[in-house]
Amino acid sequence: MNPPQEVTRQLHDGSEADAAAGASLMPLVYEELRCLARSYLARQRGDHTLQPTALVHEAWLRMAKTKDIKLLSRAHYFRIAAQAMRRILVDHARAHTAAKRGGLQRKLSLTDATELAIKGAVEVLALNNALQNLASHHPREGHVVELKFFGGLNTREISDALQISEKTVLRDWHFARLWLSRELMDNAA
Amino acid sequence: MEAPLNDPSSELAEIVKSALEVPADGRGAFLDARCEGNAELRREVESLLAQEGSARELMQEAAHAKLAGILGESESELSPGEQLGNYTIVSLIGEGGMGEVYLAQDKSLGRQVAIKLLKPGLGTASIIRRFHEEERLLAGLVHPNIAQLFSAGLTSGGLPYFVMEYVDGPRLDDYCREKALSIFQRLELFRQICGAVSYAHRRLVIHRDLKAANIRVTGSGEPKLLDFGIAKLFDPSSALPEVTMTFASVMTPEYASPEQVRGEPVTTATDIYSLGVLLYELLTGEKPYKLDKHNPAAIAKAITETEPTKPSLALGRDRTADTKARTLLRGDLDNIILKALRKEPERRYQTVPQFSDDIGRYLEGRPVVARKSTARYRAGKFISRHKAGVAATAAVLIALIAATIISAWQARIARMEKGKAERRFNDIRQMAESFMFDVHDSIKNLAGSTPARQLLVSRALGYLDGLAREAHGDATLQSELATAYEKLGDIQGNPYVSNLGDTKGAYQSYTKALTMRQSLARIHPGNEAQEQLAKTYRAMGDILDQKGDVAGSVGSYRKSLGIFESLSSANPGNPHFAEELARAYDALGDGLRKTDHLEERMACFRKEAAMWQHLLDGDPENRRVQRSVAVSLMKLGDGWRDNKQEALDSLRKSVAIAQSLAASDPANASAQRDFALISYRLGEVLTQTGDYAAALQELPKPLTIYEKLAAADTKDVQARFDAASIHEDMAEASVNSGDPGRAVTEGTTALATFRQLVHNDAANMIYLRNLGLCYETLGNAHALAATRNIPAPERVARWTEARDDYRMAAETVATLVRRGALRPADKNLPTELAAKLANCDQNIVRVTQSSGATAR
Repeated sequence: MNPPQEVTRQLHDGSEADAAAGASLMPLVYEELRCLARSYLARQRGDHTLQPTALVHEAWLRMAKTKDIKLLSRAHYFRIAAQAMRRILVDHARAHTAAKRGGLQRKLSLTDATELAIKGAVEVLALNNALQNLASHHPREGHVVELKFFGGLNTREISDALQISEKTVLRDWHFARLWLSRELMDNAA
Repeated sequence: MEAPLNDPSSELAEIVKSALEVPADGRGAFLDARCEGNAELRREVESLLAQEGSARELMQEAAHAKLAGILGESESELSPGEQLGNYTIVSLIGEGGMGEVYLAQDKSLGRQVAIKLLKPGLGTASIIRRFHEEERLLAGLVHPNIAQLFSAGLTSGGLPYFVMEYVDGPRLDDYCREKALSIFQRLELFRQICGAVSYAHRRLVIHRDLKAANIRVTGSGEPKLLDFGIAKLFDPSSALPEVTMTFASVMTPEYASPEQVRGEPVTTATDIYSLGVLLYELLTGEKPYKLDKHNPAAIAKAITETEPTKPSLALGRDRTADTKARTLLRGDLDNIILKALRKEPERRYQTVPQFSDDIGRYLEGRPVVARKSTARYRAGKFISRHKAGVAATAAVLIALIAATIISAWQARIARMEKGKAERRFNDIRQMAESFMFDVHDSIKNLAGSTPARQLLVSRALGYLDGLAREAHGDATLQSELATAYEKLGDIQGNPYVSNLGDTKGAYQSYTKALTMRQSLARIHPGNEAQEQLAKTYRAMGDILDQKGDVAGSVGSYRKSLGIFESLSSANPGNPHFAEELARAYDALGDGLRKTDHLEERMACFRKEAAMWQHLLDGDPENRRVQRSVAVSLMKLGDGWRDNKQEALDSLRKSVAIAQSLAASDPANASAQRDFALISYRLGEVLTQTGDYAAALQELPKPLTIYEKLAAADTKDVQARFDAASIHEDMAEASVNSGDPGRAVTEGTTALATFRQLVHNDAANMIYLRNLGLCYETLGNAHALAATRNIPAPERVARWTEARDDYRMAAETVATLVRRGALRPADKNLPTELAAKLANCDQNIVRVTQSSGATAR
């Protein structure tokens, strides 16, 4: 019943303590989102209209109730969630490109049935690499992409999460798209 | 946050962002101004702006959507382009209860086919074998309204699949709705379906799973029946619950006929029934019964017992405005549909053509054959229904539930999405509860339900064993399975619940649960797994005790205790573990009752009592804990031989607690019983320690309660028996305290009840034994009276009464001996009684001779 002390302490956005808490909560958020994403996807084949915001929000609601994340700010949670989402995708994509699809011979594994199709996986990995490059030159723009693309946040929420104006969010996003597009094209060539 | 502009990256970003806000035709001038002859910066900016068109496409959907696409695809077993025997998979076109349906290309014949791939767990190679046995029959079904079944096979992964004619078109019900067909058009369509079913029946093939989803309508408006004959393949014996068992998870309850639910043989009448459901649905848009899908018991009851709502009225449920349709249905169509839906196959249309012809007569305006079911007929049917087939219904009901649980489990194994699986598991847990307890309990008192209960157990066991083989490495599933095994063990033979008396089977189930719990506890050293293991040890102890394996049971209780001891010391102040530890002491103490370790046993109860007392100190108003203190103190009373004072003190404290609990809640029967039991125990121990006067003061307390309970409920035989036993004990104590008068009064009261109990239940050996003992006590009372200083004739009369009582006692005991029901503890009783009889005779002779009085 006792939440870990380091998490319960003040968690102001951007503070050192916040960053430390974020690091320790990452696995929790990661696991929660991964489960949630799978359960969403499992509901109905042919119905791929997954609502990204709903996913991240549902995870928040679930975790806020039960986990130590209680005292984390909402904005900070979204930052972690976006990172976690990104890692989930990248991990899946890596796992999938490493292990070839077994087709019919595929044995139903008891531990991981979310084998990914190779198509899409490569895309995700390439995008991830490009995003890493972007972030090294333009950290805030990288953040915006992560929140929007991986976290499924809207402009308003990103502006809250990063404490920047909505206008800046949009400008960053437009710039980042150009940058990533050029990067992906260069790599493809 | 904003970086200073002299950082080249930031400068670049800022220029690009601003440029994007400038209309395209002004950008050249804008860049001229901002880049100020920095050619490299300008190139960089322009190369980014050049991406504008393609970048807009990028990341249109968030990653989640991508994830959905990626994961979603991996859900199907086969992917486009894959080869399956002679076929190339084109695409997934459907998913149903049985599995997935793919469109595929037949390479050799160049035609398109549908391939139905069974879900893992649904079918095995034996289905394919049966297909080959039936192949000629099925391949021979060539009819324009039947989708032909071409072949069957196994994937390299071992999943059975069927290859059949591909029908491109909507489901029958969707088609009718979309085309807004009139009732007459629907009836014509339905008659075409009847034609196909009738054709198959003539070729000895029964569909068994007719439903809207299995009928498609082609582009030219022709209905086509799918899956003809497939259901049969699930059903090797075509009889008995076995059938429904395997098939239950794919059978749609709404269309199941009463005989399918009852597990009776499936005939053409079954298809007629399903056609009736189909017609009902086509004409009303409703199903004949409103079924609660989560309640198999209600489903079975509705299908086998409830009269369906008249179609014309069902229509009114949702479409109140459609009075024209209702008028059309009322009368003949109502009667036609209800005739097809009769519970008894022999009262339906005998053949599909008869059914179809009756519809034809209706369409032509001629009188139909179907008549209303009369009230008298319905009443008669109701009565006979309740007499027959209860056990059979229960058996199939169980089968249905089992299959549902299993398929949910299998789905979990197959998919493993954690969130979904968790929800499923909750469903399963509820189902398992219902399966193991509700269903079991609801049928356990039904005459003739034992075979059904046994079937329940053996089915559950079979499935659990199957799942257990697949559960390695899956802690959650193992834990669920262990729980299920425990529940099963309880039903088989837990002495504390109504059970089937299958102690051996219960032992085996608990053993399986224990093995899983042990390995789980090894892998997960956390409290949860440890606690579960300890509880399983305790249940194991109970069953070993029941089996008479005292050493094994005590050993098991000790292990349970050991775990709870370490859990409790690792979590000091945790009341939950403290309680469990107290219970563990209790279990071990009880387990030791058949050994000679009395001191250890008392030590257990001493610790237990202290722990409950400690818990009570922290929660003084808690009645449950108060009761536990009382019960553990009562058990300390068993140590009276070694520790008389402790025993009596504990019992007195226990009585005081129980008395206040009973007094503060007079309406609570179990509190009254507790008080009675504990004060009775005190009375017994007082008697055993020779303090008869105190015993005679104590025993009226429980007596009052039992007499009250017996008076409140004349059917409460146990209370009457308990009251009589106390009278008997008081008689005995009176004899021992030298009060023959009171002894005779109490003994006579007891005797009257015991005689009545034996009269009503002659097979009950406990009643019989008490009757015998009561006669002996009465004999003792009279013999005691005879030794008093009284006139000789009276003395002879007393001896004579004593002799008569001893004779009755001896006869009763002889009956017990004849029936092999004499307890080992009573083994000297016959000789003792014989000696007492002889003594009476001698005394009668002696007193008679010395006084000259005459013996009767």
